[in-house]
Amino acid sequence: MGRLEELADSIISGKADAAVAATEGALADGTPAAEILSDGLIAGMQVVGERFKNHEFYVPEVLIAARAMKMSMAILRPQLVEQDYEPVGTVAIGTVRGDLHDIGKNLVAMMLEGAGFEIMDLGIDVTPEQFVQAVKDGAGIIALSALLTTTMPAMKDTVEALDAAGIRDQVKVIIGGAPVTETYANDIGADGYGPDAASAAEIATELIAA
Amino acid sequence: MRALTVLPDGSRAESVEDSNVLESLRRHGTILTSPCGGEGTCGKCRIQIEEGSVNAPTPQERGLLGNALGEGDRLACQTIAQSDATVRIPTSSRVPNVRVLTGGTPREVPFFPNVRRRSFTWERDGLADAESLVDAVADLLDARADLRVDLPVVRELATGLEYGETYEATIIGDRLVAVAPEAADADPLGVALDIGTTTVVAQVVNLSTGEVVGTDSRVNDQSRFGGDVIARINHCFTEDHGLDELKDAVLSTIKECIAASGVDPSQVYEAVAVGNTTMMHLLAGISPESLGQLPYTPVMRAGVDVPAAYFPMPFSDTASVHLMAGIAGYVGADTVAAMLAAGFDEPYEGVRLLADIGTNCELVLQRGDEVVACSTPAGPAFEGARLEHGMLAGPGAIERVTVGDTCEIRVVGRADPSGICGSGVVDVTAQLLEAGVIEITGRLTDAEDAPASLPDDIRDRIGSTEYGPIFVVARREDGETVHVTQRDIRETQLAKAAVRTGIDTLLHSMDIPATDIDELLVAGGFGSYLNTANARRLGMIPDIDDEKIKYIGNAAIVGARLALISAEMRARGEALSRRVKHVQVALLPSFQDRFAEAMLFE
Repeated sequence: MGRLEELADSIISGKADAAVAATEGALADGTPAAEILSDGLIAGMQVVGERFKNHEFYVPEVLIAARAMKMSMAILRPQLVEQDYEPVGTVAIGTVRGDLHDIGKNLVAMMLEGAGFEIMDLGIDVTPEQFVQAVKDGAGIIALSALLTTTMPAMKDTVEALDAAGIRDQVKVIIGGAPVTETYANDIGADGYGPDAASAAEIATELIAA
Repeated sequence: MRALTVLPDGSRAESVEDSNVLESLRRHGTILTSPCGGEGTCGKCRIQIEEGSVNAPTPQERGLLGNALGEGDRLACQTIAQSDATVRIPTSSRVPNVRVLTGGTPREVPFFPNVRRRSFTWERDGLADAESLVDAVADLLDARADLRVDLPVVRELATGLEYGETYEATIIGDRLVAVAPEAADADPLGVALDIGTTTVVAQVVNLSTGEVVGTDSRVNDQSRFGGDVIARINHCFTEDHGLDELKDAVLSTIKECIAASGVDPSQVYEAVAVGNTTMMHLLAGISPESLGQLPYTPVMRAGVDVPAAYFPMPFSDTASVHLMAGIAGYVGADTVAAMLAAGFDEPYEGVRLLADIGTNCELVLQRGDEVVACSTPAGPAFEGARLEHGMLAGPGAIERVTVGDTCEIRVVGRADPSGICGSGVVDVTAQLLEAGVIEITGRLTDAEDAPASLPDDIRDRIGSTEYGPIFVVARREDGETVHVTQRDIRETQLAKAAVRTGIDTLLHSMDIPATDIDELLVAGGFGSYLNTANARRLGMIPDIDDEKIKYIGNAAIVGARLALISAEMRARGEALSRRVKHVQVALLPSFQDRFAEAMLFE
């Protein structure tokens, strides 16, 4: 098994120590950091995402995998910066105003990070104004999460706030959360909808490529 | 103001102005038996004055007490302290306690309903000293200082009373609401209401005896607008008349409950309603929109008394409805009622935990007189919703599962299963974990990955669909299977993690290790069916011995009934609701880590 395959496997099984060892080993072998990222980390997280999508993996496994990913990433990041590596894109993510559920949002953030995005995590109870500011600060995608039907209207408010600020065309909006549907996404003029964390990362990747 | 020392317990009461000892003791919370209403005619409120100076015995006392007067005996209703005094109350003068069963643990509370009947004889003689007929009646009822008389009664007094006749007054709290010839009316009734998101329970109580005379429960008609409170709140957000529709729906359910309980609704003078905070808002016609958004602050939380006509509820025209106090947006009056039933108003020597496990799980932890509470969203798995073959614990539901050489089931009401309820899912998940068919991460194994030692019958039950593996719990007579899917296991995992995170957070907030829990009280319908060994195996509850676990059933309706038959219990509930410290679990920074950790089946 090659180093990168080993790294991907350690991420999938959530073995942080093995992930760190594989990352350091690959760097020592002279593998470029960008390649370790794409063929090790991202490849591993992709499998995690697929398994999560078909209920084989659940929240705990994703969190353990993400922990391994983050530890490997901490080693890679200085190298990536040195090599002027450009992230796939920057996503500002948050749970909308009035809502405090952040586990789903965090899973999406992890999957996005695992897909090579730079993450601006705005936390919970995020106002439309804060999302607008994030776009001004350079986010190319904003990802909105809501877990209650009663807080979903804040998604619409956020899209409208982007319109009002005149920056709607500078950003892609993706939304998700248990009560959110594709129809709702279309109704409020969002650019994408993710039924689960793994799909959210796929959609973000497609939107950036488009 | 004079101080009364009350024996035998040595507590202190205050004697205000010229109020008699009976009245002073009542304000103090000590209720003496006084069927005549303090008129000095029955002789039941006997006390002994051990120290201090009091008024001279009245003619009634001379007649009723005779020689005992010389030994210091008096009637509390006739005695007015003229200095600080020491009063001894014999047991025979105390109000007898009514036993209320709370799932096997009887709690004795003083029987003193807010609704009382008092008789009086209307005499021409008494009128000369009174400023008005209303005052005369108040004097006869010995309640002049704090009696308010409803206008219809005032009208009745103008023409309706005859000298020499005996009448019965119906009093709700401090309101005189009806005067009728003696024995004209049946005993006054009260209704305890538990307004659940899914089920409404009504219990009718005879307020003269404390006896339960009718009980009915039915599905909350609001269910047609959505199964959980968020759906109901959302209905108010999105529909123009949403709030009115929900209010009308629950009122019609209450009306059906009363009709089905077979009592005369016009004899109902008071109701005490409890429910989760959203249900209380909807019942009162208060928009629950603030409960749908951070920080989930309720509009109202204190207890209030509302005329029944305002709702309207189908009771006596003068009836009053007490909406019991709640604690927070997701810890409602039903939890306060359950706490009352379980005695959380009194200090507890040790540590105990009360858990009401449903879609929203309410948890209360007590140590000494310290009480903390929280709620945690367990989701609908325990009520069978969102499971592939899930159902409520009604006829046809698999409620018990034992996995050994084969898979044994117990079905509610009949042999042929139609689905599986919350307790069945808990059982099957725990038993499959034990058998190695489910891994600690919650993954359901394929038949080939299952342990080699697995009995053939169990291995054969592991199947797969395009959506992943399943486990066949039973085959129905029509050949279809009842099974649990990987997704069902995930829902169960989520629900048990929510419960456990709530428990751990409360324990952590008081710095108590789980091993220190002396008693776990499990309330609610789901709780009564729960197999605790399996719940422990899932990690839903900490490692607590079975003998420390008690089922207290529907404690909310018991608490509502206590508040109905005892003014003191009602006051204690209100005080408790203010005293409890509420912990907003999901807002704590540690929440996510705890929650993720609690999802594993370790």
